[in-house]
Amino acid sequence: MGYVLSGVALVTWWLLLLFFVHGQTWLFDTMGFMFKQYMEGPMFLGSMALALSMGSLLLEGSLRRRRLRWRMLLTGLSGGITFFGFMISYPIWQYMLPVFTGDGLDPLVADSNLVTLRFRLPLWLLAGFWSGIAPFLIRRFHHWSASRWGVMKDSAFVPPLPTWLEWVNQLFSHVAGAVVAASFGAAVWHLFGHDNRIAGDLYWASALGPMVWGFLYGVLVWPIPDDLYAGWMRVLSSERYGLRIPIPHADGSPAERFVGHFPRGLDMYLPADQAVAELHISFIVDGNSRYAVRGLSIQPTQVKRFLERVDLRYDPRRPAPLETELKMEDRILLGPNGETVVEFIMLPKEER
Amino acid sequence: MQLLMCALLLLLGCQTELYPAPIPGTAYRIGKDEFKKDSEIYVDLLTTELECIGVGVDDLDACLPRADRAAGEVQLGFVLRDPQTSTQLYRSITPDQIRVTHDRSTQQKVELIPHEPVEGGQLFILLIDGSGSMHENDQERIRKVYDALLQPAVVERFFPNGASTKSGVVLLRFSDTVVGIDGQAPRVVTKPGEYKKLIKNHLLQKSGGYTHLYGAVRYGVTELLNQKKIADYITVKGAEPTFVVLTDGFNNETAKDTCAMNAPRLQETVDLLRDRRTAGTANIRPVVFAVGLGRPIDGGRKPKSKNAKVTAPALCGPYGERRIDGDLEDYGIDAVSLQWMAEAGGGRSFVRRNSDELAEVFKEAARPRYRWYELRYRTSDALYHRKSFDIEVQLTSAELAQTKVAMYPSAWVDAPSGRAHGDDDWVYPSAFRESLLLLMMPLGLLVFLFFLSPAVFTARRAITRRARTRR
Repeated sequence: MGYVLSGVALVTWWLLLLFFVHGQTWLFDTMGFMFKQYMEGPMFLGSMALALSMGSLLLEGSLRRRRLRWRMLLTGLSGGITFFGFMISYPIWQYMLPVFTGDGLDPLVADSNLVTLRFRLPLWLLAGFWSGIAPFLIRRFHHWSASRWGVMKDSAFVPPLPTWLEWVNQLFSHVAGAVVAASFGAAVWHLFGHDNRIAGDLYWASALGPMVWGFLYGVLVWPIPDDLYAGWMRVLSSERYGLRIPIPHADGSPAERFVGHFPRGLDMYLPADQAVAELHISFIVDGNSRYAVRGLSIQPTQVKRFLERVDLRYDPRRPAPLETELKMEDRILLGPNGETVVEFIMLPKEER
Repeated sequence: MQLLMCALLLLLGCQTELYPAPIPGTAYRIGKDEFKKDSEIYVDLLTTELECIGVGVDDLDACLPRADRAAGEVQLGFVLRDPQTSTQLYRSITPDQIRVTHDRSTQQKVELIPHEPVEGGQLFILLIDGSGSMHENDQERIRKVYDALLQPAVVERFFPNGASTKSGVVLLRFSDTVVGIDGQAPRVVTKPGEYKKLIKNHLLQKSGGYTHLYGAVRYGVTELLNQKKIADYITVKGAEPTFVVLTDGFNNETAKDTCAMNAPRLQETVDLLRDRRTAGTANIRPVVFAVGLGRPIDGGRKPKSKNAKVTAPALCGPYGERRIDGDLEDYGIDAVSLQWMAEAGGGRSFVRRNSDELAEVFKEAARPRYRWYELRYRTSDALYHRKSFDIEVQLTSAELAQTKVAMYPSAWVDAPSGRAHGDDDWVYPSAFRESLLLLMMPLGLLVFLFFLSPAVFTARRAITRRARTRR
């Protein structure tokens, strides 16, 4: 997401520059009007926020194979909220700004051509805020609509609605992530635009600022979620080496996959002479795309990951088998000497 | 509904008038230039492509305004215009005659590039002192004038490209009266051969009499210009009269004249000159260059302010009551009078001692004029381009002019910065397509990184033997 949205921001910068440098003259020559120069600020920040907000949702729609009409609708709604919200809040802040500055600074602040971060940082943060809140609202709306009415579903299986705590967490990542991304973008814009030791050139600054903004936005606001990946079990030991099967069902609904040497009915057969029990382990995925492995046999079963070992051998004194959450590249060693090794990997759903 | 409101919001920021006009190829805008009201001529800054085309420039790139924030440079083209008629005036301006201020800060790094020289179209009226002092010491002084006027470079300046252009020279001698150098009525000489012949045959002839310097100037800018032949020449050829007044002493009309008596006379002359230059039409705005031959007397001091009243102390210093004839004129030249007349006449004053220096003065007075000028300046720090700023262009000598224009750099973005070519230390604009380089390089890097991550993942798995081939 970071790379793609960084690219989106960069392309947006170039299009804006083309418009400011050549488009305005063309517009005036052909249509008899152009935008006043004080509109460059709202257009620059508003367009960046709009592009990132729409880019994020468009990319999500693309990854989820969402129907084109819903994809366009949600993207458009998100862009509309972002742009409209920012355009409303921009003049409000500009109107309020003199309240925070001394009388001596009023003429300076009133100059819309003043290159400044000191007086414009709140505008960057506002742009960041709107670029974060709008996709959050749209994602919330989409989730609610799909689970409540079954409209705009991405697949037959609709994940359960998140808890309030999860929503707050998502809200925080959207808003705080977007604001942090915008503030870093502003910092880079200022640094490259002002400091002659680095560049001292607003041309470079205006390109690199949005690029950093887009990258951090992609990384912080909505990194590709786990439900867009599918967990796979893959055999690493020599017998049946490289064999892999996906854990979730094709529609993304929860599933449990069984591994053992029982010749019929199991999801993955592994030979008994490699110390695999008849029904040895199972891989589980729930509706929130959380993966786990469960030990079903008294045969030695160990999950091995960096600096950690988990013994999953079945304890007859306990009513339930032991299980542990799985992370990418965890290895499950079956047998006393780990004769059979199965690893857990996450791959994009497209791999299926 | 939402889209409609968005459109309405954007419309609030619509500009239907031309100014502030975008500067092509930059993220700057430029306001309409404003002339100072008491300017003798207008410095018309060419702010848009239409204006450049309107004055018929041949190099549009040099004419259009340009600004480079990273280098702190600004370029402007300008023409000179008559305030009354708005007719374009052709002048010869040197960098020392111009002052550029950036937000009231005078700029040091300024370059003035003249464009499109105007050939001919000038009438040079040489008013040469014919008093007895010019012929003293075996005609020492008049011979210097003679040598200077016959120098090939001077003749070439008076008659550029031989006789093919519309330039002419009127050779006059003044003492008690003003007559042609040959003693006849003034006439326009249009051929270099005729000019040389007149000088060779008549300049060294003695005439004598007192030095009616002010009267000669007054006569020149009034009666002479109204004479039918000269007026016709000016009208038909579209020529502009440039006076070169040359003397070796003081204005001295009677034997009893003192320096202080010259003050009201000079005031009258200066007033007349100012009147002619402000009330005259574009073609008859005489320019006066005043030249002294010898050394200046250390007497008065002309006030630095423009249009100052002539007073005896300012003109003469401590020598106000000293007689001119046989006293002051033996000590040197009244350079203060020359300065006063040159200022009022929109020209310059000089004091020179030998023929080569005199020749330089004649060449200076007959410098080629240009249709338009390109002005460049660089601020000491690029930070001065981080807010809107005013540029003032002033002509500080000759004709007074002052024009102001506001520049509005973008507060957010900039076009590709210019690059120095090496021929000079000015930067020249980069094409906008170069911004594609800045776009494509990071995009390429992002695509590379996009593929790098899975490549690193696969490589790591290969190294840790998780991706080994099946045995």
